[in-house]
Amino acid sequence: MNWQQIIPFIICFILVVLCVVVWSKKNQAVKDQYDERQEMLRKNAYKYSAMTMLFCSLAYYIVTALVDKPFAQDGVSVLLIALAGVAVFAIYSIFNDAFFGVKAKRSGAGRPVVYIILVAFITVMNGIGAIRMIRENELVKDGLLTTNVMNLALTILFLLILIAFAVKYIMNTLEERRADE
Amino acid sequence: MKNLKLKAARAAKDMSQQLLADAVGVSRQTINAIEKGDYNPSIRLCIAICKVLDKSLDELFWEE
Repeated sequence: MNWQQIIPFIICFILVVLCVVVWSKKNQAVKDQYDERQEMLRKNAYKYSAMTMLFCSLAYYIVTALVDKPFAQDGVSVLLIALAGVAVFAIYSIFNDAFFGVKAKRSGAGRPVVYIILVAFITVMNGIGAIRMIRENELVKDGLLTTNVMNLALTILFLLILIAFAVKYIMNTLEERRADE
Repeated sequence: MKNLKLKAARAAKDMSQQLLADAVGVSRQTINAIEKGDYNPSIRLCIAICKVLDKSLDELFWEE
């Protein structure tokens, strides 16, 4: 038994369990930020996000097994699949008005608009990085996607989130006008 | 099924959806979803809405 290979795995497993335990306790406090409808929809969002990651993983491994060649360097495929899950969660939550809690701060740095500005800033920064990587042909090496593709992936993810916010804002504004007529 | 009684009761009190939502502690979109019939609120939320609008459960949520 090669302990040098097993010990890092055990340490990672323990860290993941600890993170989940701490997160679940913190989540109890965060829970009251969302009303009952939002809670229900967020549960759906988590479910669809998990299903997306599962199907993407399955698809990736089936395709790479069929062509007998991976598409990406070690870890890159895992990160891209995780980002797909994050995208599904975020976009589903945004379109169902369950992204920001009912008790989302109305002033200060915790306001939704500040969050959106931050997302826009991150999009731009990653976009600049992605353009540089594309220009320098750093995205693909030896026929495999490198970790440099993460800039592009994050740009696309946050851009989709920003578009979702914009579309939902327009929909909400029109809805408010109709509701109060 | 749309909840027109809720909408009418809210209008009678001259309350916007946002105002009602703030009063009962939910999001405006939740009130909108209830009025459109897209969401069935819990009994707790129903009671909270009834208290704010001075109506009974039957008056707002009973389906004829």
